[in-house]
Amino acid sequence: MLEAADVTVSLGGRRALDGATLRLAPGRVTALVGPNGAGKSTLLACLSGALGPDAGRISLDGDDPVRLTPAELGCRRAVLDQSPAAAAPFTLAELVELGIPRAIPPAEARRMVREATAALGLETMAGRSIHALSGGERHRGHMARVLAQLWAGRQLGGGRWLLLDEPTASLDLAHQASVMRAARRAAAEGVGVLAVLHDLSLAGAMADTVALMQQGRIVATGPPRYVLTNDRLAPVYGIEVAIAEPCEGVRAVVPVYRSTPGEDPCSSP
Amino acid sequence: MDAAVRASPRIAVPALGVLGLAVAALALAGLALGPVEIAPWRVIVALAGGGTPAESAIVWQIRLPRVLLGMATGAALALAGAALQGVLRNPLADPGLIGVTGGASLGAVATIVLGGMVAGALPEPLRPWLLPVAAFVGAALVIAFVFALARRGGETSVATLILAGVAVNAIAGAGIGVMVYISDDRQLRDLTFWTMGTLGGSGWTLVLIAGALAVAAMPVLLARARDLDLFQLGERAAFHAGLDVERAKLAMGLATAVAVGAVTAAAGPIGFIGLVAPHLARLALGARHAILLPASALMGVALLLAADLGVRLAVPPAEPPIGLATSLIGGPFFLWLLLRVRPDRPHA
Repeated sequence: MLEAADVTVSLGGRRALDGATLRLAPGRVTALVGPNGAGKSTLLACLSGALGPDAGRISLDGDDPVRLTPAELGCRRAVLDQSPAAAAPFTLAELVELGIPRAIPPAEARRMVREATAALGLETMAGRSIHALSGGERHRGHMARVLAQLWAGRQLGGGRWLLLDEPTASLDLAHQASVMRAARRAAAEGVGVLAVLHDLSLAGAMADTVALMQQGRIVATGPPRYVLTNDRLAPVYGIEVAIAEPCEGVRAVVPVYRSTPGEDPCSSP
Repeated sequence: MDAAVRASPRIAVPALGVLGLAVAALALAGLALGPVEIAPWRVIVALAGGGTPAESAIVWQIRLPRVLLGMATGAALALAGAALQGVLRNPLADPGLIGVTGGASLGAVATIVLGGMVAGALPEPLRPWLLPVAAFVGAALVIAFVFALARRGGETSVATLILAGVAVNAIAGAGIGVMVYISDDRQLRDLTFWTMGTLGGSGWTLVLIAGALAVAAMPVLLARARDLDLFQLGERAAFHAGLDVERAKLAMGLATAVAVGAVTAAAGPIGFIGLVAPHLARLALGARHAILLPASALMGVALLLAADLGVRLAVPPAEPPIGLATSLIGGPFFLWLLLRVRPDRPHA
């Protein structure tokens, strides 16, 4: 189990987390949503072991992550940062291989690189310099690196948690789907996934659980149809939303720009 | 950098071999050429303990310490440059430009001028170590400052780093100026030649000490190839991928300070090798540090031995300081890089 219990963190004099409680479950995709500055990335940093809480408790399979060595942490969980970048002009295959620790034999590592690049639809670009790729291709390359880290971790007895900070921010629709499908596939293999998302419709389509954050705390957690409602979202985001269910299990959330309060946007001319 | 010319390990290993051969050839030339020319095979005979007394004396007493110091200096500065560029994710992080050599120089100059007072209190066998240790302390202080700068900003821009280097070099230069001002005539002469950088002025004792320290620091840096690759992701992502970032920085910072301090103490401040060698290696063989680090070291040795041959053969029997030659080549190279590196991107 990976969980934050009543976690409080102050950053630069501002209370970034204020009693946040969240529990991730193996095999499930949890979307963490909320307005800018709600504390989503800070909560992810705490769960990843990068940041120790001022108060409250983080438990990574029973351990306090800040007490684990970076190598142990890297084996147990993989993290995709918000805007990943590599300064050096690695090839895509070299970038993906960076996720794999030296404990994995080279032949095995090469297989993981191949499969991770294929999982993100990048198999034809393995030999290209990442500086020659498009922004979206590069971003997926980093996702492939994180997947490879997760798989390597599993071979070493870990690889149970995947934390993604806005994994789809710079991607077009098809590539958003390829990243989220890779996350879902990891969940199907028993990995607990947390994805910070701004796109509520993506959360509604891809997540098993949605956790809604406001001002440093989780204000609602549950299945998309429970959390993604106008009653819950409007007070948090300060804007009315319209919800649609175009098909089974998919929930689309659209902000209502034009209406005045009380007016039904769909009936206006 | 172009994607199509990225090297595979298949060409990297032979390339390292070719570099190694070039280094061997330049070292042999360094032993053979000079005011008295000795045939290469006679050099080998002299090294093996044979040859005429004159040949033996020239090879063993004059040229071998010089060539060995050149090799240690080239390798140490190039590796230090490659490591600093890797940790700071900054292509212009040359030990000279960011002030590490300046810090080492101030330590060394202070020892030359003031060391007499301390040396008397030291046991005889420890006295020759005073100079490299003082240079190490100077280098380590600057590296600690630069790493702290990088930590505070999360990511240091090229401009910040170079400007910090300007400031550090100015402070070190002022300190050196004070030392020059209070030095006596003999010290002043020592200082003047030393501050221009030369491989010729050192006896065996200092060469062996500096060489041993530099050689001890190199495996520490070479063993961190994967860590340096991970640093390219940024410190947060490197941590997420399983790297103990602080420990890696401490190990590499100390090793870099030892390497730069040792060779600066023995050879004086020699600029730009730490900039030029890693860049040539990166252009030819790609960004992976497993190959980049040894290639940079070999490239640094080759460059320094070639520069030393150049200054020795340019206007014999006079010997312009080698630091002038490396700056003459490195300065324009630095300008070219500066114009080429887009300031809004961290890396070339």
